[in-house]
Amino acid sequence: MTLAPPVPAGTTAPPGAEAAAPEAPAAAAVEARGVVRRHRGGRGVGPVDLRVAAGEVVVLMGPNGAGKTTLLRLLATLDRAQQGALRWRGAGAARARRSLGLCLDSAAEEPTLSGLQAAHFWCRQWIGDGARAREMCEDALRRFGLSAVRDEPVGAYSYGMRRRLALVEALAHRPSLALLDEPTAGLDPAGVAALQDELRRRSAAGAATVVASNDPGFAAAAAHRVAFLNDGLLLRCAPPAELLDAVAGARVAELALAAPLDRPTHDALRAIAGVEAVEAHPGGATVAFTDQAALPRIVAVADQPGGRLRRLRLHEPDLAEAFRQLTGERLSEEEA
Amino acid sequence: MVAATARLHRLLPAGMWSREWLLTLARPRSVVVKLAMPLILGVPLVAGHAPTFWAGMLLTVLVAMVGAVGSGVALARARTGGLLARLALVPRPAPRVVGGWVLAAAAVDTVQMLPVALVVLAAGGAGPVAALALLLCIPAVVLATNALGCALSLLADGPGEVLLDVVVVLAPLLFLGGLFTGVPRDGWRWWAARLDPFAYLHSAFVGALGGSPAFGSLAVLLAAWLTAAAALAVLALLSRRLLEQG
Repeated sequence: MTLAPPVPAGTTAPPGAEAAAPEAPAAAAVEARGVVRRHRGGRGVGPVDLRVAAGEVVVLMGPNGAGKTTLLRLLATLDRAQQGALRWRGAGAARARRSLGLCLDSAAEEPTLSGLQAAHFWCRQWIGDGARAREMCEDALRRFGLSAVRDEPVGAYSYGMRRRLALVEALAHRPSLALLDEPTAGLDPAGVAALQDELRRRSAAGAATVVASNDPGFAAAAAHRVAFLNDGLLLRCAPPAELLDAVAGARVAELALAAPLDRPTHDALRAIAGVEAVEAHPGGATVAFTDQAALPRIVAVADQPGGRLRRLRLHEPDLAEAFRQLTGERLSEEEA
Repeated sequence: MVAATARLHRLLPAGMWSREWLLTLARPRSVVVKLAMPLILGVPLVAGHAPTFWAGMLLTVLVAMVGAVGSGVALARARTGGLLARLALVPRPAPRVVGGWVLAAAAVDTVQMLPVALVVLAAGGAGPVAALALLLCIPAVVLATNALGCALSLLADGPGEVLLDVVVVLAPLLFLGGLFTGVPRDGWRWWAARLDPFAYLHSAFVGALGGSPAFGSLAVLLAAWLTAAAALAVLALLSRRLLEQG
C-alpha cells in the first residue's frame, strides 16, 4: 500500500507527501451546507459550509469555544443541525453510521479490558466476521505500536498508550469517514508519526478524515486543507501552504522575559521599523517582523531593564501565526 | 486466579452482552462482594425467622435497588467517559444497543440475587409453583428496574445524582406497592398496588418464605413480565436519546 495520499480536487498535497495524479472529483465524504448548531449561551457553530472529499484530511483549528468539537459532533451524526443540511456520501445519518469512526478527546476505556479486547469490541460493531475483525485490530494495534501490550489490561496503560488505543478503536474498522478530536494530545513524537502514517494510508485508500487539532506542526504535515474556526464561523479553509502565504516573508521572535512586558517596552518594540506585530503574553512576548535588520534592535529593546530578556527563539511563522494574523487571536492558552 | 484472569483477557467481546459479562468477571473481588451482599442481608432474616412481610420487604427493596442503581450509575459513567457517544455511532438500531446492555446488566443482577433466592426457597419450604414464581419474577423485576435506572440516568448530571434520583423514584413506588405499610383493602391505593410490580415481587417473596402471599403465582408472573415488557418498550423509545446525550 502506498503511503502517498491522493490529492482531492481543490487541494494540495501535505508537505512531504509525494505528488499524486489529479483525480476526478469524488462524492463528498461529508458535506455541510449552511449548518447551524448553537448551544444555550450562543456558543456552537454556524452557519458553516464544509465539503470534505473522499481521501481528504481536513484539520479544524481554532481556540477553545471556536466550535471545533460541535462541528465534529455534527459530522459524526451525534448532534442534529438546527439549520442547514448534512449529507454523508450523498446519504443521511443512518447510512453514514455504517462507516464512521470517532475518537473523542475525553474517551475513557474500561480498565479491566485488554487493549485487544477493547479494540475488538468496537471493530465488531462494524465488522461482522470475528476473525477478520481480530486481524484488523491486530494490524491497527501494530501500526500504533501497541502489539506488545495488546493483552495487558488498559488500566496498566500510560496516558499516551490509552490515546493510541483510542485511535485504534476509531480507525481499526477502516471507516470511510473518521472524526478525530485532538488526536495528538498525549501522544509522543512516535505516536504522532504513527498517526500521520495512518492518515496517509487512509487517504490512499480513499477514506476521509476530519481532525480537530491546534497542533500547527501536525496540521501542516497531515492536512490537505486546514479550516480556521473562530466564534463558530469557518473563516478560511485552504491548503496549509496557502494559509502560510499570508505570513510569508515574516519571521517570529518568541521572547521569554523575566517579567511581563510593560507598556513602554511594548510600544518601543512596535516602533521598530520592520516589526509587524507585538503580542504580550504571561511568559513574555511574540514579535513578528519582516525586516531582518529589525532583529538586533528587538533584542536590544527587549533586554533593557524593563524587558529583561531571558531567552530568544526564532522561527518561521506556522499555522498558529497565520491564524493569529487572520483573526488577531491566539489558538490556545498553551501557545501563550 | 491469575490464570483465570489471563484466560478472560483472551476472550474477545463482540457485543454489549459479552462485554458486560467480561467486565463483571474481570473483577473477581467485585463478583464476590456482589454475590455476598444479598446473602449477608438475606441469610440473617431467614435464619432469624423474621416476619415474612418484613423479610419480603427488605429483599424486594434489595432487588429494586440492585437493578436500578447498577444500570443507572453505569450509564451515567458511560456518558461521562464518552462510551455512549461512541455507541451512538454504531450501525445498529439504538434499541438493540441499549437493550443488549440492559439485558446483560439484568442477567448479572439476576445471578447476583439467585443465591439469596435459593436460600429463601430452601428455608421457606415453598412449593414448586411458588418457587418458580419467585425465580421468574426476580429477572422480570430486575429487567424493569434496570430500564428504570437507564431512563433516570437521562435526568442526572453524574453517577452520584443517579443514585439520588433512583431513591427518589423507587421510594414512592415501594410505598405504593404496600411494602412499608401494607395496602388498604379499598380506595386508590388498592388499585395502585395492583399496578406496581414491587407489590408482586413482595408477594412472591412472602409466598416463598412460607407466608400468605397477596397474589397468586400466575398473577405474579403475568404482572412482573408485563411490567418488564412495558419498561423495555419505553426504554426502546428513549434509546436514541440515551445514546446521543453522550
